[in-house]
Amino acid sequence: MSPRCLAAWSAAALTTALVSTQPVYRLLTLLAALNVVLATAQPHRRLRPLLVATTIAMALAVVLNVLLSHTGDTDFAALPSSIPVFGGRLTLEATVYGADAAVGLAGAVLAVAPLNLALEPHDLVDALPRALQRTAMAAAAALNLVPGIGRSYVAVRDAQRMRGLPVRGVRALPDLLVPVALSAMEDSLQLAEAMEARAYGSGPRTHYRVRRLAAADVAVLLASMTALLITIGARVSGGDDDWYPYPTVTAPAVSALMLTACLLLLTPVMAWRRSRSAA
Amino acid sequence: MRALITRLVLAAVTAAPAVALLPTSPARIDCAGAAATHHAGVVVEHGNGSVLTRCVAFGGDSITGYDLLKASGIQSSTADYGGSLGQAVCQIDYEPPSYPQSCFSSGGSYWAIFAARQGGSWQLTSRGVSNMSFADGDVEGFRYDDQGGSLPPPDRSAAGACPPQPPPPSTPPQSAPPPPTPAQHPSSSTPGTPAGNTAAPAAPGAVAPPAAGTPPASDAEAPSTTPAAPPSTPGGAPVVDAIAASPVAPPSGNAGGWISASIAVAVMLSVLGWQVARRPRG
Repeated sequence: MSPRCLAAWSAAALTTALVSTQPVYRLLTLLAALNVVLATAQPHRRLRPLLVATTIAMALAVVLNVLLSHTGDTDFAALPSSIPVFGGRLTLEATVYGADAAVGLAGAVLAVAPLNLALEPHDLVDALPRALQRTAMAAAAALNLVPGIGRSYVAVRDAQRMRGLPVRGVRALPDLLVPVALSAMEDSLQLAEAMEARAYGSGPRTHYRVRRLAAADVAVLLASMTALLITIGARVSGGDDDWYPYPTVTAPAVSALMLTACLLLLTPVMAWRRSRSAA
Repeated sequence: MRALITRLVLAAVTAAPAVALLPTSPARIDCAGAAATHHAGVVVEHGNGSVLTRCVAFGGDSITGYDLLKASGIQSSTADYGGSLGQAVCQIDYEPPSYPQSCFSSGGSYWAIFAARQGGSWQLTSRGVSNMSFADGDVEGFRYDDQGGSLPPPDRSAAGACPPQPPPPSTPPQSAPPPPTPAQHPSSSTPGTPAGNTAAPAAPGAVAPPAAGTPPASDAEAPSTTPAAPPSTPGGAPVVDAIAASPVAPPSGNAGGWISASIAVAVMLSVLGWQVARRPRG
């Protein structure tokens, strides 16, 4: 699986999920992204937290839209107008619009999820153009410090607690933060020394196993680019107009070309699963 | 709220030349057949220039612009912005076919609201339609204008587009028929149906009636395939006159596309089920 091809697929899926307001395309993008997440996620990665968080976000999007938007012609309930912000009519159209937005939101989240679930951080850094690699490495190292500081904080707190020192309250903070900051600086120095020892910056990075584009990668790349072009083209040419459920819910027009684009997003499932099986 | 204010300001700026081009002749709609004390007109000018006019009879001294529009029987939808802005007009006679949650889109056109008082010239208003008041002889005008202001205003305003009708006899004959109803009026479309289906069937730009099964907007009339009762005015009097040429039909989906979409969803779900079944547990 080529990180660049996966990034291209993510870009195509993200574009479809965010650019189109059409619920059918958004739903198909969500299903395609869910399929790709299942097909590409590393076996040791847990998917349940991602799926639960996405589901909660979807539910919140629907509920908040119903409560906050009182537009639409089809009422199904009403809240007393004395309730600030939330008071007023609750409409079917607001529910549908909220569901549409929720599907788009979930599709966008799952479109970028494979970059985290299927790849290691260094894969992503390597996939960047050479001009961006140093900046990306610095950013990745800085971001890696955050969980390191968290781990260090827990370790220092536990050590002080075992020694009977107070670990709660403002007064205990200096005794906690000073060793944590020192540990972070020590970790940074160690990282820098390790990078220097591995000749970082002396030339282009080399790999024991050179990764080349496989036929499956090329198929994913082509399918993703085609889907992206169709989505943008349909948007620009008016083939994928905005769809709104207001004032009454109407069936959106569905174009065969956009359906094709959505189905092309399923290519990684077939291509990469097959190549994995062959490996 | 900001969007509405922006559009109201835009309306004031961009429609000024349009107002200047409006005829200065009184905006007059003949309400001769009305069986109520007071009458007010409604003129709707679509984006393509076609015009829809109605006359509404009402019982009180005045009527709000919102009630006047609703009583005219012309399909409309509004969004409540509250406060001094009141109801914003989002859709009239199915134009635009749909609109965003905030009522206005970031570009494109919107419904500019005008008022002609006592036969005077059109004046652009900067208030929500529910905060406008109309008295006997006033006319409420709506025009679907580009909010960018780059396009020139229409050459011809809606005012005066409603051809004058013969005045009623001063003293009805003894054998005069009962007070005119919409169905009996020779030049009127059936109130409660999208305009253009009855009054001006051969009018340029008129479209076929909406497809059966298309849900009508609430607070609007049913499609012509299911005629509805004439809408009543706040004063209880019927809408008495309508001359219309509606170019806009309610949107509808395409069956072939939906079958294809269903197949696509089924394919996606099948692959998903296959993957879940093959995924190792734990």
